[in-house]
Amino acid sequence: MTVRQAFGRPLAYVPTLRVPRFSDGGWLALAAFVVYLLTGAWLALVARDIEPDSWSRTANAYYVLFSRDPHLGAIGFVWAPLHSMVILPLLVFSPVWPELATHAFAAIIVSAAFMAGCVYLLWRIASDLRVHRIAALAIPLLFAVNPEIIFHGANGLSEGLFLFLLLGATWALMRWLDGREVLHLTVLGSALGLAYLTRYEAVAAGAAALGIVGLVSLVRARGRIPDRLLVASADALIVAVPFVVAVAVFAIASWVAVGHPFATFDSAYGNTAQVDAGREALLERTGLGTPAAVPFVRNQVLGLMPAVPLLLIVAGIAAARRRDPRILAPLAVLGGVLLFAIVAFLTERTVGILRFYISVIPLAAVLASFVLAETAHLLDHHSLRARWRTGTAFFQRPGRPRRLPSSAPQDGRGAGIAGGGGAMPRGLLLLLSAVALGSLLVGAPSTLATRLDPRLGDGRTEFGQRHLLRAEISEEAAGWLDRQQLPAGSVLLDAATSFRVVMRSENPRQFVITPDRDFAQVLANPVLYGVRYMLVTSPVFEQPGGDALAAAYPSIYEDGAGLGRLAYEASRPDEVLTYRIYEVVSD
Amino acid sequence: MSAIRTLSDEQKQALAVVGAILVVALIVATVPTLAVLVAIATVLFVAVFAFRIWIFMSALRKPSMVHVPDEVARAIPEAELPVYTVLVPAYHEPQVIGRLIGSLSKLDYPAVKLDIKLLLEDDDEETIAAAEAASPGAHIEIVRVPYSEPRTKPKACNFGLLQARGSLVTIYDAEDRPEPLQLRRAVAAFRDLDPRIACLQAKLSYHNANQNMLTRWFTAEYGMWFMQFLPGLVAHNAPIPLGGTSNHFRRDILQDIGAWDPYNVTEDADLGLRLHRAGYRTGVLDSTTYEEANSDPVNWIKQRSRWYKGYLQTWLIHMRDPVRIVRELGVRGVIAFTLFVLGTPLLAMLSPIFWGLTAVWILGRPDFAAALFPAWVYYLSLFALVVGNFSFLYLTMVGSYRLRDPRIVLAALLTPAYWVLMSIAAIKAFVQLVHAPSFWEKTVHGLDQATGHEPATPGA
Repeated sequence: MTVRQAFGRPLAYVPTLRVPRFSDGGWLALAAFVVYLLTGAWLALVARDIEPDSWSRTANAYYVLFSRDPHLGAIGFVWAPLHSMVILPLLVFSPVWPELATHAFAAIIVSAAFMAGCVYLLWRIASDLRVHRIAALAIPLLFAVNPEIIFHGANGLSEGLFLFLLLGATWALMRWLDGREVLHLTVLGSALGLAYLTRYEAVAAGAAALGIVGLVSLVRARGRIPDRLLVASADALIVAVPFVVAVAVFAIASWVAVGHPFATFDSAYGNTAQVDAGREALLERTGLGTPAAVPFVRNQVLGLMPAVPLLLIVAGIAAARRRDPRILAPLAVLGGVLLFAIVAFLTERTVGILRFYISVIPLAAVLASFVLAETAHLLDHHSLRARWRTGTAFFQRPGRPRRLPSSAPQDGRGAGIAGGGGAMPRGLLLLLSAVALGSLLVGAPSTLATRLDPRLGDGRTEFGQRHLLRAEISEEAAGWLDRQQLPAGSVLLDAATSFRVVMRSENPRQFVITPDRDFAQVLANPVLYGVRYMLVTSPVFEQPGGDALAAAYPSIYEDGAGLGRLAYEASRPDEVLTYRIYEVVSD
Repeated sequence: MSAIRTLSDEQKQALAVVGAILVVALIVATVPTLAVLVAIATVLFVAVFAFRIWIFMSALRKPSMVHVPDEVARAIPEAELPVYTVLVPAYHEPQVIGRLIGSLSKLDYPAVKLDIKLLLEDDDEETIAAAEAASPGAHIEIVRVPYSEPRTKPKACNFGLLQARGSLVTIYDAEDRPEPLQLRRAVAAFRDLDPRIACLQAKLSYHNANQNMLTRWFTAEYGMWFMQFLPGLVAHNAPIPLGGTSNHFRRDILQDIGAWDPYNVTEDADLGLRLHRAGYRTGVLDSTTYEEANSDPVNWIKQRSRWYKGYLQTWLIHMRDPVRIVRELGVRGVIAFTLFVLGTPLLAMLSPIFWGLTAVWILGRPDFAAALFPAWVYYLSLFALVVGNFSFLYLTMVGSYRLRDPRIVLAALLTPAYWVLMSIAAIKAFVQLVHAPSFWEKTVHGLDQATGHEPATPGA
C-alpha cells in the first residue's frame, strides 16, 4: 500500500462532482435545448406569440440597461428578480439583435437553456439511483416531450429556471441523504435560496427540505439528545443560511425599490391584487372560494400527470423495501411546491393557472426513477444474454442471491432489490417498469388535453392570435412617438402596463417610466419636468384601478384630465388594450 | 531576501513617487481621486473574495491532503525510521514545559531516533530551571540559545538547526499537542511522495476550542484555513504560507535554501514562499496538532497583528524583484500569492472603511458618498457587500462543519463579530509595520488553564 498523494490529483475518499463531458444526459439535454429554442423562435419570431409575463420580465431587465435612468432598482423587485437578472446579460447584445428585447427572445433562450438543464438533472438523478442506462435516458426524454414542458421551455417564462433549481435542490438533498457530505447541503441551501429569488413558492420547498435535513440528522446522530440536537441544528443551519439570506436580500431590495418588503403579496402589482381584480371571472371558471375549487384543482394536477398517485404508492413501496431515504427529497422539494400551489389556490391567493402545478411533472419523473431503480437489471445485456444461453425461462426469478436489507442499512445504492431482487417475480418487475414509464408516457397526451380544455388550461389551439393585436398597436404607438424625434424624458407612462411600447421603441430614453427614481416627481408636475406626451392605457387593462397615471389623474384616459389634448390613439376593435397619447398643453 | 529591511531602495523610491502623485491628485481633484481609490479597493476586495471562494470550492470538491493511513504509518520498521529532529523554541514559558514533555512523550516514535531540542534563551532562567526540574529523558536536549539580536523564534530555530542530527526536521510550539502518529506519517509520506515535496504542513487545530466564543471563532477560522484554503492552494500548485508549527522538512533542503529569516515575524509564511520559489513543493498532511487557542481578546489581537504584519512584510520582500518572482512562480502563482498573502491583511484593513461608508450611506445618503461610487463601482461594492460578506460567513460555517463539532458551526454564524477583531489587528499591524517592523508580539500561552496572565507553577 502506498500513500495517497496530493499534487493536483484528486484523492479518492470523497466523491467528486466531476462528470464526463457530454454524457448520455448531456446529449439529450442539448437536443432538448435545440428543440425548445427552435420552438421558441417559431413562437416569438414567426407566430409572434409572446407571453406577457416573459416580455415584462425582459422589459424589467431592459430598463436596467437602456432606460433614461439606468439603475439596478429598475428591475422592479415586485416579482422575484432572478429571472430578469439571468436575462439581463443577454440583453447587452440587443443593440445588434433587437429581437432579444423586442420579441423577448432573451427570455426564450433562458427558459430553453434551463428547461434543458432539467432534462440533464433528471438523467443525473436516474443515474444516481442506478437506473438502467436506457431507462435513465427514457425518463428525462418522456419529461422533455411533455407538452407543458416543451411549451415552458419555449415561451420564456420562469418555469424552466424554477424547475431547474428545484431539481438541483432535489438532487443535492438525495446526495446528502445518501452520503451526508456537507457539500451537498450547501448546494441544497443555495439552490433553494435561488429558487426563492425565482418564485416565492420555493418557501414550501425550503421549509420541507429543512425539516427533512433536521429530522434525518437528529435520527442519524449518535449520543445524547442535546448533542444530537446540536448536530441537527448545525446541519439545518448550513441549509437555512443561504435561503434566509435570499429571503432577506429580496425583502430589503423590494423595500428600497418599491416600499414594500414583500411586494409580491401586497402591492398594487402583486398577486392579491390580481386575484381581486378578476374575482368574478375566476369564480365562474374555477369555483374559487367554493367547494367546486377542489375538483377543479384536482383535475388540473391530475390532468398534467394522471398516474401520479399510483407512482407515489409504487415508488414509496419500492423505496421502503430498499430502505432508501432518498425518496424524501423529491417529496419534500417538488411535492412541497406542488402542495403549496394547491393550498394557495384553495385559500384564494392565486388565480388557478395550469402552469402553477407544473412541478408535478418532474415529481412524477423522479418517482418513476425510484421505481425503475428496482427493475434496473431487467434490461441488463449481460443478464439477458446469459439467460438466453442457459435457456432460462424469461419469467423466472433472477439468479442472484437476495441481500437482506439489514445487511446494507446505510447503502441505498444498488442494495435491496436491484442488487438481487430474488423475492420479486420477473413478471412483477416488468409490470413495475411498464407502470413507471407508462405513467410518464400517458402524461403527455393528458397534458395536451388539459391544456386545450378552456377551463382547466387556456384552450388555445392556435398560436399567434392572442397577443398579436397588442403587439401591433404597441408598435404603432412606439412608431408614432419615435417619429416625433423627442429628447430624453419627454413621454410619461406606466411601465407595468405599457412596457410593450418601451420595448418596441428605438428611442427608449424618451420615456419617463415607473422605475425611474424621479417618476413620482415628474408625475406630480409633468409640465415643469418637460414632459411632452402622456401615454395611458385603457382603464380595464390588467390594472384594477387603471395605470399609475390614472391613479394620479383619474379622468386622464377619458379626457386628458385637463393636462392635455388627445394627440394619437392606437386601438383595434377586438382588443381591450388601447393606448391614448395626450399632448401636454402648457398654459 | 530578508526582512532586516522592510523596503528595498527601489521600493522606497516607487512608494515615494506613488505617494507624491497621490498627494498632488488629492489636492487637485479630491473627489475623483477618492473615487478612483474606492474603485481600486472594491476591485481588490472582489478579487480576494472570489479567489477565496474558488480555492475553497476546489478544496471541497477534491481535497488535496496527504493522507497516510494508520496501518501504513505503524508498519514502518524501527530500523527504517530516520532520526527526526524536533525543534521546540520557548521563551518565558515555564508553565507549559511540563505539559510539553508530556505530549512529546506521547509521540509514537522510538526515543533513540528522536532528537528533540528545547530551544531556550540563555537568560531565560525560569524556563531553563523549569525544564531541568522536569528532568526529561536523554532524547530531549536543552539548548541554550546565546544572546544575539533579533531575539525571535526563527533565530532560535536556525540555531537549533545547526546542531540537528535528523534527516527530517519539524517544529512544535511549547504548548502543542501533536497527534502521536504524526512523525511516522510524515516519514511515510516523504518516503513515498515526489522528492520535490520538501515540506509537509500538518493541520493545526485547538484543544480548547470550546473555552469561549473567541476560541470557537478561532477554531472555525483554523478549520477553514488548514482544511480548505491550504489544500486548495496545493491543488492549484500555488505557494502556501506555512503555519507557525508542525511543518515537517527535509533537513538538507531546508538548509540549502537558508532556513528561517530571523527578521520576519511570520518566518513560516516566508519560508513556504521561498521553498516554492526554489522549485520545491509543500503538501498538507492529514494529521492534526492541537494548539492552545488564544482565549483573551487583547492577547488575540497582539498575536493576529503580528501575523498580519508578517504577511505584509513577506509580500513586500518577495515583490522586491517582480520580474524574478513572475519567472519563478508564473503569473498565476504571483496572483495567487498576492491575493492570499497581501489580500488577507488588506481585506481585514479595508473592511471597516467599507462598512463605515455603508453605514453613512444608509443613515444620511450624503452627496459625497454618492460621488465616491460611480455606477459600476456602486454595483460592484453592493455585490461585494452582499455576496462577499455572505459567502465568507457561509464558507466559515461550511469549513468548520468539517471539524465535526456542531458548536463551532453555530459559533461561525456569529463570525462577523470576529471580523471586527481582525480589522483592529490589521490596522495595528499596518501601523507597526511602519514604526517597528521586526518587533515580535509575544503570545501568552497557558490561558486555557490559568485564570489570568500570571504564569502557573512549572509543570502545572
